[in-house]
Amino acid sequence: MLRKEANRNEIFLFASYSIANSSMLKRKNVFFAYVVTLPAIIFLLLVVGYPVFYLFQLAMSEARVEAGSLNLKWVGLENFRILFQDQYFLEALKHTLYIVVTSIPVSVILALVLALCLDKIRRGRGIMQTALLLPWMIAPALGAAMWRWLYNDQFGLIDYVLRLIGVIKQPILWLSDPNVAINSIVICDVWQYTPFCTIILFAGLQNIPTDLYDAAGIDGANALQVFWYVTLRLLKTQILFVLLIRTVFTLRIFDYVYTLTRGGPGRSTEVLATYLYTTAFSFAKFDYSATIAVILLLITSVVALGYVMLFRGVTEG
Amino acid sequence: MKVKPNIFVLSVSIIVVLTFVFSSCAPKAAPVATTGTTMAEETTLETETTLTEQAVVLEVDNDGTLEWDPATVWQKEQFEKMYPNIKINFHETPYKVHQETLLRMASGAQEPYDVWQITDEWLPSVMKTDILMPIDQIWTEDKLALYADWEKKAILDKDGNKVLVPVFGCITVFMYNTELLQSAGFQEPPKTWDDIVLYAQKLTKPDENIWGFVDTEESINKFWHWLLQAGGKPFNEDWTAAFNSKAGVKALEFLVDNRNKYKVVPLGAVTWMDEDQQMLFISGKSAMCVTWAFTIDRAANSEESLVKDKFSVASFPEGPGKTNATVYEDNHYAIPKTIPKEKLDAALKWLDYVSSYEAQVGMLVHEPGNYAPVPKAYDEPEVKEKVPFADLLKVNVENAQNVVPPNMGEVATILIAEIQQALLGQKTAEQSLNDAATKINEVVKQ
Repeated sequence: MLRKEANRNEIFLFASYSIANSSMLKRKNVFFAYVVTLPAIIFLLLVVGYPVFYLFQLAMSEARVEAGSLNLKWVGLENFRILFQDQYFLEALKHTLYIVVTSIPVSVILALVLALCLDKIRRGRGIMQTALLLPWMIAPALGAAMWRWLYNDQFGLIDYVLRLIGVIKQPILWLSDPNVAINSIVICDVWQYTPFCTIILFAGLQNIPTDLYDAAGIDGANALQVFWYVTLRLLKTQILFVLLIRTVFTLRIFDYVYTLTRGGPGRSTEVLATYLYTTAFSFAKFDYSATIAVILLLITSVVALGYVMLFRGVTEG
Repeated sequence: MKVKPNIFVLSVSIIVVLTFVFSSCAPKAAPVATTGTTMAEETTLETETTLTEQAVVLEVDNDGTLEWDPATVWQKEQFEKMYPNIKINFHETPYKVHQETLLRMASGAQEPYDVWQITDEWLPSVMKTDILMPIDQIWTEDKLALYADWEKKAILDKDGNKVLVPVFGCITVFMYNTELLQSAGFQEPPKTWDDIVLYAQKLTKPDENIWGFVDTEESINKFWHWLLQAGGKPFNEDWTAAFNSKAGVKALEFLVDNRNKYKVVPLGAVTWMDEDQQMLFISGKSAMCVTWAFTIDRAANSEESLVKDKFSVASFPEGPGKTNATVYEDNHYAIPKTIPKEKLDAALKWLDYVSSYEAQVGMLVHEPGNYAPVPKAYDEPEVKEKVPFADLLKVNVENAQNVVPPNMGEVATILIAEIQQALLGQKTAEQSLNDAATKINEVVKQ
């Protein structure tokens, strides 16, 4: 019986294989595949393609709202020329890059440390994981509102505790001192997104075979060597992924800046996203804000492409 | 022939993209008809016969939710009793997207409401579109006479047509904590700027988080208040900057010295919102402040207030300008030229009613915290009963100015940033105001 069934299965498999391999059917399959993905492609073009095209169109136009119409006058790269001479834009770009360069290394290193600690914990790991994830679960706007109160120099908990334990005598002006305010935003950004990085890196750690650690131990490697040659090497993919996601999101930071400082004091914390928002919704200069958006899009794309190429190098290596 | 998959996908993509390219390059919305029929022409034709039988439904814009606008709801009820054939349907537009919504309606990208609500902040950009319909017929001589002089100019467009009616507004007041002042030996509020400094220095106790005088510059109108009190003016007739005069420098130096020299203001107040200033006052930690008048209602009636019977309002301490001048932040209704012909009469009636004496009095009574640019309304017994310090508010309303420069949003952003730099000691007051003036003079020309 079993032998007969096996024969039947073999025949069926052979027949299916033969059918699938015939060239005409292959062409039909391919055609069918593209037809069924066409709605998704159209959807993407509608949702992503057309808005991006319109953004570029707006960025290269002078937009005037008149009664009953929005007139777009083609000006080419004139808006970009004005933008790169705009000191507020250049300062916003500088502040954005500062936040990226400080926030990301701190959060990735902290995430790695936390992931390694989590990896060592056996009891209560689930609870620890959940607790670690809490900041990430809070909506950024809510988190920003909470931090605004924490940072308040009159009512805030941070200055209160620091004064209570004698660390400071005068309140720290977390949001009013131009030299401190931007770092206050970095702290919030690290607090919010480190959990996400931790979870990704922790998942990567789980995938490292324990045999490698055993083998390294047998070969006489110390803890640092094991970390460097085994753990870090095998976590490269996850680290790159985390860097990519964090960079892309941090380049667009908005919630914390807008809620905590609105770009102040004296525009010392203005970033590209808040400048873009203010230009569009306070100044009603939609063409100029589109120009800023295009620059932000290009920067993000270049950075993402760089990471993807690094990513390929790592995975192929 | 074997079709390569990537060429197939590429071809389809190009076709779709080209379709959108050509459709987006097509001519835009139809021009505005002066009789105001274009936008809703199709719908009005469809329902023409039914409209005459049923009520006219007026689509009215409202900033924010009606939950916070009891006076508006009351006005609607009164109006609908007067005109049973007209129904008001409010559209609650969130503040943050309100300007964008108005401009989308102006450009034809969105079905426009019949009556628009426009604050000072958005007024310049809406006025540029030339979308607002002249409504001179509402403004009779009798009605005009009710309003403060500055409001008579505030309702005009660039050609001198009356295009707006006031909905409500807000004004600044000088508030003080009576208990704190008395505990420091002061029985009367300060009468001059020098008195403010004297009082504030004695009242300030940083260890107890008590501050003598707290001011915030989140809104540009706050600085205009000090400028006017110093005897200055914000702009010249052609909207070039006049705030960097000697009076302007004196006003800013007063604020800077309070923070940095006399230390009667929390250092962190540079980036505080008006909300933070109000919170400090109603928590009993701020002895004196110049703030928006709706703080009176908050201090007197809110659950969180610790100063319910411990505060008062006084005339503004006299500055170098020896004037009672202050600022009024205005909020208006207007009718767009796109309104369907059939609804124009109803819209005019609504605006006529809202700007009537009865409606303005009712607004004061039903929503303490909103203010009317009608000085006489503050003398009404029911207003005096519901609105604390009505006499003082009347004086402030009479002496107010409404400052709405072109590109107001950008002007405010530039000036506030420069003021903050002066407060932080990064620039002198004169440098800050001159730098602001240079930039703003370019902006107002755009």
